[in-house]
Amino acid sequence: MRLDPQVKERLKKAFSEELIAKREMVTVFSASLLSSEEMQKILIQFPQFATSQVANKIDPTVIGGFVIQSGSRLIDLSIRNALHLLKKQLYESN
Amino acid sequence: MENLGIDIKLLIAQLINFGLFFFIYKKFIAGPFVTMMQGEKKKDADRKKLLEDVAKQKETLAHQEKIAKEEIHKKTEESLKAVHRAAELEKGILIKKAHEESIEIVKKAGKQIEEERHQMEKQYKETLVKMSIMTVEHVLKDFLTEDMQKQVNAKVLSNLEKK
Repeated sequence: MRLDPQVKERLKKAFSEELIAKREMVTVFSASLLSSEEMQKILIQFPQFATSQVANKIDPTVIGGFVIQSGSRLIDLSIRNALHLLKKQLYESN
Repeated sequence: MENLGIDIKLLIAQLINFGLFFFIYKKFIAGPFVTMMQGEKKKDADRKKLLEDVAKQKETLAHQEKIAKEEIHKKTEESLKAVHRAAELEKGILIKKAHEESIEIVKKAGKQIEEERHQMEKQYKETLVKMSIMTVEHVLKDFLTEDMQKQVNAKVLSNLEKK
C-alpha cells in the first residue's frame, strides 16, 4: 500500500513529536507516594531528567525503592529488581 | 570158416553195420552230448568263478564300505570338532561383545542417571530459589510499611550518592 507523501510526512512528524514528548516525560514508579524531598533527591542524582516533566506513580509490585522510566529507558532501583537479580545470580551460581 | 560156423559175409555186414552205427553214434549222439557236457561243465566253472568274483567283490565292497564309513565318521568327527571350535570362538566373541555392550550400557545409564540427577538438582534448586524469592516478595509486600519503604528509598539514594 502506498501512502500519500504528505500524509506520510505528517504521520512521521506526529510520531516524532509523540516520541519527544514521551522522552521528556519521566515517570518514577514507587510502592508508596514519594515526598517532594525524595523526588528532589532523585533528580539531583539524575540531573539528565532535571529539565523533564516528572511524575510519580504508585506500583505495589516495586515493593521498595523506585523505578525511573524515560521513554524506552528504564532505571530500576527497586527491591523487585534486586530480588530479580538475586534470583538470577542464584540460578547461575551452579 | 564155414565149418566154424562163421559166415564171412554176415561178419562183413555186421562189421559194416557196426562201423555205420559207431559213425552215426559218434557223429550225432556222443559228440553233441560230450560237447553239451563240456559246455555245462564250463558253465559251472564260469558260474563258480562268477560267484567267487561276486563274493570277492562283495568282500571288497564291504571293506570299502567299512573304510568309507570310517572315513565319513572321521570326517564327521572332524567337522563336528571344527564346528564346535568355531561355535566356541563365536561364543567367545559374542560373550566379549555382550560384555562390552553391557559395560557401554552401564556407562550410558550411569551418565544418564548423573545427568538426570543433575537436572533434578537444578530443577529443585530453581524451584527452591523461585519459592524463596516469592516468599520474600510476599513477606516484603505484606510487612513493608510506608516508613520502611521510605527508609529503603533513602538507603537507595544514599548508595547512589556514594557511587
